[in-house]
Amino acid sequence: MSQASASAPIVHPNLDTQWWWEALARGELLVPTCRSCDNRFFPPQAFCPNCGSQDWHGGATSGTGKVYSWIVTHRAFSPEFGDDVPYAIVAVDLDDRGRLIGRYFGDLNSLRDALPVRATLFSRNDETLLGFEEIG
Amino acid sequence: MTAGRRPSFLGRTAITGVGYTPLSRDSGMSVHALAVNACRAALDDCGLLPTDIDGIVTYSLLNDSVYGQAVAAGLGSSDLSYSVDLSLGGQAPCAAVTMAAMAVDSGVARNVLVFRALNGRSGKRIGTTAYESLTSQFRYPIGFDVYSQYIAMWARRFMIETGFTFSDLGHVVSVQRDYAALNDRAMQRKPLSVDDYLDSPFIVDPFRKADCTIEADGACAVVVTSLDEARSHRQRPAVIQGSAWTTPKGSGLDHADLFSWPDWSKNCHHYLRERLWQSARATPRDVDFAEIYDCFSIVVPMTLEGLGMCPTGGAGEFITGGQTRLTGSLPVNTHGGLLCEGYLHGMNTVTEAVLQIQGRGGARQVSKNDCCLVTSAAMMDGSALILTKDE
Repeated sequence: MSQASASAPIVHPNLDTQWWWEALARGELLVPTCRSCDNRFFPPQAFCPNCGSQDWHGGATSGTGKVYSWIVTHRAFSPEFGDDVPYAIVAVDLDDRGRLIGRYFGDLNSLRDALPVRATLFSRNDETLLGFEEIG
Repeated sequence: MTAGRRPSFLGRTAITGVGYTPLSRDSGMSVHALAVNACRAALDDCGLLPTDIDGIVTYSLLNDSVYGQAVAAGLGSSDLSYSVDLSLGGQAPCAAVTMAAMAVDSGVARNVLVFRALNGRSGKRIGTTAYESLTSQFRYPIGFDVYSQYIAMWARRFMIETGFTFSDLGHVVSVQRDYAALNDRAMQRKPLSVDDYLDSPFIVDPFRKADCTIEADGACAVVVTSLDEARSHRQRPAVIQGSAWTTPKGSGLDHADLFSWPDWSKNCHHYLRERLWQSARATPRDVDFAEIYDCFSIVVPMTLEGLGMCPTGGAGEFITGGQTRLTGSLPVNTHGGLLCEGYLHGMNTVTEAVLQIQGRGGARQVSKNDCCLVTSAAMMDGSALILTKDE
């Protein structure tokens, strides 16, 4: 996809994930949903990791959820993120099922278990990426 | 494994020789030289010649090591009948020993070297390197790109679920520093009080620097053989009584596919538990001391709870109460752990267990050393062993 080195922190889609990134770039957040077992899974992949079915669709989501876990990075390991520290990454359990991980946009001190958040897309290196912001 | 049936190699295979190179920040030596030196040391230790070796098992990540073939060449050993090169990290050591033991017990090989060698500080720094995998595209672009961050996510959830505190984490580190002071090999031997720990800055909250292993250059190796053969070696056998591997459902696509794993407060040892104890025909109460893979401090309480060495939610009290100290009911990580000795990807967790079983722990020798738990894993998949003295 890109001429940049493999380790550069940019998106390298593959044949199983390209569609998800294209949707995200259109402003659409999707969560693959299995028609056989109703599992909501991530990342996008050829088979449902719960039952192995190939019969799934890119399910819609409200994008709201609760923080399941989080970290705050104070020392960047890639120079790319040197200017961002401290920054938080949150794992979010969506209200309509599925667990996603994104950049957190908000007060780092307000981070806590089950903090209500909503998905927000942001742009970096001309790519659309997933983040979450505090609700309210 | 079929329920109830004990794998045949258990109780019939053993580890004898142990070999190390020094651990350092700059070995000034090729990984090949490190590997051969550690393997030679292990052979010398138990009185074998390179020509006695007919099997080699090793593991590496991102080509940071050399193949067993290269070590065979360096040793000038004869024809290998068994050679395995695994592309794995910290999950591997106990599993690699197991593969060697299975080969021995099935008659494929007689004496098998298991080694790990790397210039992990002066060469490829796995621990702080972002490397591509199936799921990295969903992590790297947002700045979620190294191991400490993935495990920090689990640490947070573990702390939420169990009430494990920052002070408890400080105790994990402080106890292991005290062990390291008794270990000439350890790279970090300075004591650290819990207060000083708590005063130190976060690197990746909830982790501070002292919660993270020390990247190292070095190598270590063991010799695995049949129990009968082991009794003729120069060192006493550490008998392989229990062994288990697990890749639980939900392990996902790769080493850092956290998305599919249901409960981040539990690592693979929770799922390994029944299989391990059943394989050894033992219970947690039979264990005298434990060597727990600890690339990060949090893995110690997660693993202790996961395998039932203390009650769920009880690791904080267990550790702060001194139970994991040399004088406690279950000494843990008697070499100072990977946190202090240095990161040979957990192979040095296995070697420490063997030295202790053999009574070669020096100033840090545990008083009761009949039975040891050894683990190799931090997250989704991994392995563990139960080692005992020969009867």
